[in-house]
Amino acid sequence: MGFFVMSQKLKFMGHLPVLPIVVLMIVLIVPALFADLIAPHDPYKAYLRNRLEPPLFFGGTTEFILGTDRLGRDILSRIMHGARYALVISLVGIVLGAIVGTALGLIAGYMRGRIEALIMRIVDITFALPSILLALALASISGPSFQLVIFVVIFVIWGFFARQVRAETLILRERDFVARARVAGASDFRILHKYILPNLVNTIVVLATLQIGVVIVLEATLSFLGIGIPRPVPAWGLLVADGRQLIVSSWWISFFPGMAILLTVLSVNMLGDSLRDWLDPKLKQV
Amino acid sequence: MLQFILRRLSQMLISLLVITFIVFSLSHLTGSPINSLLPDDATPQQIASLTEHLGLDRPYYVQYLTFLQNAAVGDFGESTKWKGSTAAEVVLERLPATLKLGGLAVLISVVTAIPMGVMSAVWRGSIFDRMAGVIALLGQSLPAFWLGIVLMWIFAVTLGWFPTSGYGGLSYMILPAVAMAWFQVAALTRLTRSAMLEVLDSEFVKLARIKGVNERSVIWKHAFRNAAIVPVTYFGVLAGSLLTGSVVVETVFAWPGTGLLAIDAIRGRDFPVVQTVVLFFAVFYLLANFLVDVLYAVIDPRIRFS
Amino acid sequence: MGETILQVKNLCTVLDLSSGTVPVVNDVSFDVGVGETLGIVGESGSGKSMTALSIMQVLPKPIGRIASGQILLEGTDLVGMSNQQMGQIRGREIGMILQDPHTSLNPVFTVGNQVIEALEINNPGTARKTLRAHAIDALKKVNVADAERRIDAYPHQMSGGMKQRVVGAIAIAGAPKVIIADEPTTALDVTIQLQYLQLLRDIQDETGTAIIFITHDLGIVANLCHRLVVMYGGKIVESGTVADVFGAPSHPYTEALLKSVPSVDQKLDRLYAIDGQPPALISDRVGCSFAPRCPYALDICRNQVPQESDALSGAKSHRASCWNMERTT
Repeated sequence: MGFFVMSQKLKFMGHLPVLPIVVLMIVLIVPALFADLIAPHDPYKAYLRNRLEPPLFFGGTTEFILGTDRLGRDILSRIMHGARYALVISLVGIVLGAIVGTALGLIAGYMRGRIEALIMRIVDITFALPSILLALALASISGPSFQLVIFVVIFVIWGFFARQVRAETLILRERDFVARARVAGASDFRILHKYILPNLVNTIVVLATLQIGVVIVLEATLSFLGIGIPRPVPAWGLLVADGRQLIVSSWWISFFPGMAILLTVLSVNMLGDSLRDWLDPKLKQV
Repeated sequence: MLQFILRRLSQMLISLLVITFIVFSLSHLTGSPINSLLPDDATPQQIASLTEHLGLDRPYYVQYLTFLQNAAVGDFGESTKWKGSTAAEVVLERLPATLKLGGLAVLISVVTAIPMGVMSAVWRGSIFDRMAGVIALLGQSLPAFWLGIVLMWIFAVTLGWFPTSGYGGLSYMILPAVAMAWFQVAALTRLTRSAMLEVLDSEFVKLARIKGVNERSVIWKHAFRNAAIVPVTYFGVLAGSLLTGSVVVETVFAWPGTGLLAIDAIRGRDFPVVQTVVLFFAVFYLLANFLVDVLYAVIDPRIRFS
Repeated sequence: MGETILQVKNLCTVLDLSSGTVPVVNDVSFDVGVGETLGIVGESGSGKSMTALSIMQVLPKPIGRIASGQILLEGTDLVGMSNQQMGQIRGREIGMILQDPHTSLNPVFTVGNQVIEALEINNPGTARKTLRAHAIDALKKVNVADAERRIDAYPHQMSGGMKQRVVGAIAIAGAPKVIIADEPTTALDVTIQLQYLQLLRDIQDETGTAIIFITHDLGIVANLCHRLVVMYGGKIVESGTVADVFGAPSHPYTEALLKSVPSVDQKLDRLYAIDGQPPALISDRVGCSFAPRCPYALDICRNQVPQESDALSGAKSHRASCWNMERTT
């Protein structure tokens, strides 16, 4: 506990706490990049003689540090390989969602009037539609796939960006430097991308960081329900689902993948908070 | 005030209309619902007659209007999976279970988060504040499905305090309600805390103290009443996430509510039921937000009189 | 004037900031008598508001605290009292009017509600109807027109001047012995200002309440106050009766303040303004805090904090803290 508190004082670049960065590297980034090299086993290989082995300090061996699942696959290796999908989905989903949301938010905030009302209404509707159900419905039509997950992610988060960007655009467009540019004859597009957008970068970055946690949990939830990343990829949500029926006897199958999710999201949230305090304190909301 | 309500109501109806259209279109994305209703060896005549019977040969917009007409009187079609019942019946039968669970979750959230948020602000920087902050952080980082499983494992399997799953009285509801409420507690605590911090700094709070008002009244009567607007507005969002949460939590705990129903219906390709569930959820969400807007006006007289 | 009712002795109030502990009220002493109006004059950051907040003990938590000194209300020291005990003093023995009428009142309660609350604190157990009647009377007393209807109005439905009167009504609800008015007219239109000052004068004539009037406006001081203290950088640099101080300003800051108030018969090319900025809050100042801006500063001024001594008018009550009152160069 003391170590935890102490490490909170250590700041990277003077602002970001070190501990979450380290945890994030260990749990997400390094495995995502180097799983092929450092995972102890092939995540798909079934060691049929070592099924349902407990983790190391609970009766297990060093060969399968976090235990094995129903088919004898090494949990640790599966978690490490699953990191890649968590990372990719969240990055791709966030970037695309941010692009869509920012674009629409800019248009709404700058153009005002009917267009703004329309876009904001669409945002409201997006929030009204239960995303998980939508995902379920779509998945039952076309089957689970990467594209589906990305689409659902974009669907869920673009609204946050749109709302925030619109609110700030509303303020920015009244500023003097915009008025001057307009008087000097700059086109709307130029104003938007040369004057307004650069001022939004901080907000967008912070918002994106804060949303990563949401996206990872969303992807895991979708996978858990069977409509996310398709089998047999060892996505973290799927790993938790794998162990659900066996929770009484073999708790480790669900526990460790869930811990991976928890640690990742926790670290990202802590980093996001610090980032926000540093770059853009007016975003102090949920 | 009346004008305000009417305006909000009409906005709600427009949103609802759009949602019904989206929902309606969803079922037609499969190509044709026919395929799920008839066995593979159906004759062309059977296909044709069923198509006509279901009105699927009519133009799209006519189908949509018919759909709306029927929905307005509560006719959402027949369930294909649970033969003999209409979609509406199936959904309504399961709705109370979800409402019970959701209600308990909301209760837990409010009763836990609001006092925690207020006292965190009042005792800013104290150990209480920091611990509440940790809880809030954890709450936003834990995926509900995993929390459900872990809770089940610790409290039902290992300690045996609660049953693991199924429908029943309070003891069956506690674990799933906590799993559902966890994230909301975190968000609500943070929101309440920051709102209170802002209000506690304001001049009128200072004046209340100067008047000699006792500290408890200063906190709850003067400060909280102003800060409350923020968590109240959040209830709209809360309603929405409760719905999505219900799907996951009901799955983990085998709680027979609308969330679990939706999953079963989708697996069983029962589109009328899926449609109905999605519509119910959307209406619920819109209603919740509408009520929040009204509550907003009640709490803040500045909105009422403008 | 009557006997002393409030005595502030060597008050030191500090703020515990992340950069260190800084004094905002630095060894301040003054007293106020029954029926008297004392002006506290200074610019923003001089510590005048902090002094007021210290007396009421509503300093910003958790950074503000009284480090040392005494505040004697009829002989009883308020410093060190528990919040509970101070609660008996606030609103009852001492009332306060804040500067901005637009933020002083709670926006979600009616004006009447807030006045009634003040009355109830001072008359616990009284029936609601009686309180309401008293509240209407209180509003009438502060010249709120149409009080019977206004009592159910919300703050945002009233003008600034009217709100400030309500705040005044709240301040006098407990028949306090001292009223602290922290720049109550700064946010009001000039015409309303005069009315408000007259209101305060009337209240004082009627009840004999002592008033501590904080302002940066010397015109008001001349109009309303009997005595004044001039504050700069957290310290009192000059004190005395209005006649003495205005007639023979002894501290260079006082002199500059008086010079910067233009009068109608002057022909000015530019308004006189004091060079420089108010002093920053630091904990280890050497010498007189006004020295950087003082046109008469000597070497000793930069090295030693000036002692208080008799001022130029010769009156015993007129004091100032300056090494160079004779204005030698």
